[in-house]
Amino acid sequence: MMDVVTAYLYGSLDSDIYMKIPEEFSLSDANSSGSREDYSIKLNKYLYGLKQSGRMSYNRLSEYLLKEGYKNDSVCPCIFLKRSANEFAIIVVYVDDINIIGTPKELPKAIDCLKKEFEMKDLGKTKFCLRLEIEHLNNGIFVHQETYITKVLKRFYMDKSHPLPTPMVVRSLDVEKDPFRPRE
Amino acid sequence: MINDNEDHEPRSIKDCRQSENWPKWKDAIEAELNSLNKRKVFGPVVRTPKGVKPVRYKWVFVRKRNESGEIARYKARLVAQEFSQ
Repeated sequence: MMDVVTAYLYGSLDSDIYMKIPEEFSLSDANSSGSREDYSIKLNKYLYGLKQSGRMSYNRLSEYLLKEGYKNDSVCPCIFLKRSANEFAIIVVYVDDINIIGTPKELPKAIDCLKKEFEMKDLGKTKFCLRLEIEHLNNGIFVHQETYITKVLKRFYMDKSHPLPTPMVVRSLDVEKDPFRPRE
Repeated sequence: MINDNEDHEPRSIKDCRQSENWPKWKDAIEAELNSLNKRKVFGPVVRTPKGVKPVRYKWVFVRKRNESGEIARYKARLVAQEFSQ
């Protein structure tokens, strides 16, 4: 998983936008005549909160990835794919978080490709995505929501309650042994 | 009964100043302003042109938590507030 540092700031403005001056901002002497209210600050780049920001940062990212040989279609605009005979890399974009899946050869290439163009933080293997916790174990990938559930339990004063197992249908993931598998 | 005692994120700079963690919030605010300056997001300060209504801004404060729910980082973000007319 990679995190784009200040993703929205990558797009350049296509119209003039003025913003009120933040209170922490010191004015230079040149602008000291009249009240602070008379002045505003002209933006050079998109800021979070502007309507065009999301769209512009997506355009910027997708233009770059398409140029780098990634394929993308309008059904899944957030998925970028690069495939060769035995190798592949998939880049999945969610606002400013990026998940990358790929074969051992293509994966580092995809990461370098993004790092070359954008300032990114490589967070290593994805640990959290859309509130899901992901653990990479030896025998597979374990997906759960422990942190979220603990938070909900606390919220309802249930965190000190005595835990009891709840019976559940046990089903094998082995398709051959699955009694509910579709029959030919 | 719902436990809503969980302390909330500050909603304004004023809230931050009153918080016991003000030094941490102050650092976060400075870091955000530095980052915006470094990326040259702000252009010149100008007298607001006639007929232009500048967009408002707002500070958003979040405490990023790690897997065990401990506070890992204080984060401040300056966002523009654009309203449809």
